[in-house]
Amino acid sequence: MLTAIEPEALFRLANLLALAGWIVLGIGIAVRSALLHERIAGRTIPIVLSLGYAALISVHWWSAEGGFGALSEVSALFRSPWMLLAGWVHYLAFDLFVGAWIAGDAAARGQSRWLLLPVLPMTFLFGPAGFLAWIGIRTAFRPEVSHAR
Amino acid sequence: MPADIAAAPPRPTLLDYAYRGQPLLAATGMLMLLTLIPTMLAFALDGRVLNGVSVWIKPLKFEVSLAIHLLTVAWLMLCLPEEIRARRTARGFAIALAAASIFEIAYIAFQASRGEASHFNVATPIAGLMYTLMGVGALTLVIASVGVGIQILRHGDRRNPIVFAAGLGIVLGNLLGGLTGMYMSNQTGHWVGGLQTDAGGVPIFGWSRSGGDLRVAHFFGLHLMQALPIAAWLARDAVAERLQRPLVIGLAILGTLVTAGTWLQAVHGLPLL
Repeated sequence: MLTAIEPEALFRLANLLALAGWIVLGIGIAVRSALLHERIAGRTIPIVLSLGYAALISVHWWSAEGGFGALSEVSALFRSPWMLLAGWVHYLAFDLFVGAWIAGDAAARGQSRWLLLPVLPMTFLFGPAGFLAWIGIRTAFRPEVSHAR
Repeated sequence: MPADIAAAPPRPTLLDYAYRGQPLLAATGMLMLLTLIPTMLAFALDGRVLNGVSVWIKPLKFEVSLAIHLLTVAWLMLCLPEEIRARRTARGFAIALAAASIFEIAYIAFQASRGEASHFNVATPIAGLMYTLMGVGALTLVIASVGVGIQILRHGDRRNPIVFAAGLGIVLGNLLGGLTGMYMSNQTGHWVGGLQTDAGGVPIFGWSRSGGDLRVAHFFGLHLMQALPIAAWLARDAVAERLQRPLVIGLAILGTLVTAGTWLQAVHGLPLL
């Protein structure tokens, strides 16, 4: 019966799940809840998205054309809506995982939570750019900067 | 290996001193330097041109100059006694400087990424509003910096010519940089006559060689905040002690004259070189 499901519907579901994950991450940071931040946003939701990715790849990989060897092959791969969906879920899962890692890294270093304010929206929208922004900020904002407050 | 040598703390670097002087300013300055790396990559990948040069030249210039400005203020704040540095006033100046710098560079880079001008851009109401806000940001940089300079002149060690040069340099440099900047922003552009392009300008700076360029006086005025303390520091052993203060004052007058001269030159449509 699941075979009747369209990629478009799964796309909406995955987006909703990822968005919920980012909201939970934000709340978890705000109220300093390890359950929300680390367990739900950092583990559970990325795991659910990864399960979806693994299932999509297992089912649809062999019927899709293309491969990873050249940009034209990747482009051919993504002409299959199922592989395009899988690729998108890959982004959603890893971006959220990285976002939660950044928040955990900030907490472990005793950095001010305010520093996450530009970084996490950037990670949500442009994953690697947000990761880079955090690496830059954690290099520049040595612990004494937060302690000076 | 003897334990006392192994345990010796590493000598603080120049950067460590900036963090000691004002951690937030040092961090923001450091962030500007780190931002140079992705900006240079974008510069290498981008063929788009504005005013005859790559759209990324402007963010690169502002990242460098804001980093120099912020790190200079952070270092020179070491001229203040620690209890003054820890006070709300000094921290307020630092927060204002950091916030204004981040706002300026964020908008400049955002506009560069879109391939559009930031300064002098009044093409749409939003661009015009942002240009005005950049003016507010620049004024914030001037006022907060002058505030730090006045604190150094008031609370710093009065007998030390380097401290005097630091305070005077920050105050004078930001007043001259601010005045030349305000005049420049009230024109339609920084060129006076000549070709309206940065291509073929003075190397690195891009100043016009075919007409007047108001950025020249802005540069000389603003950088008195580095020139005076560096001169005083170089003179600390090389010049007799009673002559050090007069030397700083003489250089301040000379710098003011150079700023005024290059400003008049630009207003009359003449290139620096």
